[in-house]
Amino acid sequence: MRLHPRWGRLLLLVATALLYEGLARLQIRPFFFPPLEKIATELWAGWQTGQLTRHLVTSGLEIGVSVLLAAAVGLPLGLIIGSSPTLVSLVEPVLLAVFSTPLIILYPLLVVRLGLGSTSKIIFGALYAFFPIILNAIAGMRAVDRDWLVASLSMGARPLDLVIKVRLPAALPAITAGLRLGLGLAVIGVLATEYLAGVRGVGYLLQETAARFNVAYLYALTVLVIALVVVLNTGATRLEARFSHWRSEL
Amino acid sequence: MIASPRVSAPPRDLRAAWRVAVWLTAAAALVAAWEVWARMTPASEYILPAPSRVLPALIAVLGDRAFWGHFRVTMVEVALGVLIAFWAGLFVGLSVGTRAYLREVVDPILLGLFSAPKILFLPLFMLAFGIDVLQKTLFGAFHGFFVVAVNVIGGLAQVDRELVTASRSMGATRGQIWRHILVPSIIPLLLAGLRLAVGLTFLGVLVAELAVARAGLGFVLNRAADSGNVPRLFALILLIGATAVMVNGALSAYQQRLIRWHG
Repeated sequence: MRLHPRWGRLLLLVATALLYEGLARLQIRPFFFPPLEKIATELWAGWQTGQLTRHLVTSGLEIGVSVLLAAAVGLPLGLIIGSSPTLVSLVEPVLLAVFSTPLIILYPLLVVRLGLGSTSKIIFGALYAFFPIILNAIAGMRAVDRDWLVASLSMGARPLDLVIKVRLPAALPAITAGLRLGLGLAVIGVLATEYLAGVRGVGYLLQETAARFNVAYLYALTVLVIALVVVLNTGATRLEARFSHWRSEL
Repeated sequence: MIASPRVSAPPRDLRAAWRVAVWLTAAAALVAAWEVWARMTPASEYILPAPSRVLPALIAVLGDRAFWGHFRVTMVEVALGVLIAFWAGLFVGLSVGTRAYLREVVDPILLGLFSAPKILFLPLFMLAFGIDVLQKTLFGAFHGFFVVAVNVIGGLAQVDRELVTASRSMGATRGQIWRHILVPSIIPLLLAGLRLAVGLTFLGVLVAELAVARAGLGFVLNRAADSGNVPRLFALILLIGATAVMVNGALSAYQQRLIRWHG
């Protein structure tokens, strides 16, 4: 009999933790392997002083605002571009080329221009999130089946009906997928820039903890943030499934 | 199956030429507007320096021997990182992808780590491997690894199982099944994974260099930013961006050709 994969993963996690604790107890490299108990204590201490919450809230707000900003610019532009094949053939290759570059090289420029505070993080996170959002909006508009448009027209749909009742619903699954990908990239962009040149936020906290060589707290933060990102991604995927469930009924 | 190139080529070329013309016009208009704006704005030097200021900076960078030394450092780190990411990703992908239960357990973990912010692990890489070539290479490889592994697993999952069963019942050896069924079905996704891995490894190396470094393009970028030399910073960004676009374009074209040849 085989365990459900989910329990298999849990078992893997427990085994890793036990192996880690074994290494810590053997005291081979105590600097790199502080005991689990110390990691938990550090996390609890960070939580109790409110310091952890403060930085988490800062990063969360920066991520949220950057996704909203990227969507506010990327969605309308994507929907307009996607409805014209000429515009798609002109703009899409340029967007793909820019998206293939390591955008982080723009970051020193943003810091020079906008400083170390939240603004530079939000702009950079939005820049990162912008590309999957606009590219997916374009792809969504192109996914409209021509037969649906012809059928709607022949049944007397007006131009506005075509947009609201045919094109947008058809594009919705791609749009929500783009928003989910954009959210993931905004998390990466905001944390990376907080780490590289920040004065608050989880990325900054991580960098500052490492600079103090507090390895136990560093591990605690790493595991905590990964757990939060997994929860966020799972939630976004669930939400996305709800928005595109009508597809399976077709 | 392939249409005669003589017949199909002219219209396609014409359309491509028309597109390039629009791009060039748009780029020229953008540069002109940028120049006019910069001349009219005081202190534009520190915000968005005019093209007429960036161009000399670009020429200075191109003629700077020290810059090419740093360029080479980064390229070596990226190349080594891609090699590690590719072989490690292939190894893990094949080990996991050929065992159905292991795949169900491990694939979500790999996908989760693929989309997790890798910057979380940068302090660990610094504590364990220092701040020089080894750490940059390994942090870059860490960025590129997951996309290769995940794509190999995806390629193996796409294999038609009945094809494998039928071949085996007709007496095909393990080697023959790999050679004629599994390898051909992995290759397209493996190539796509490799192309993405190159871009991600480049990103990882640059992030590590921007954080703490004594050499490389990230180091050069930081120094230009710290000294407030915005025209030079701009020139560097354009140069590094253009390098990334060209490498990605070349890999993309190569990938298309191989896949077409592959059938």
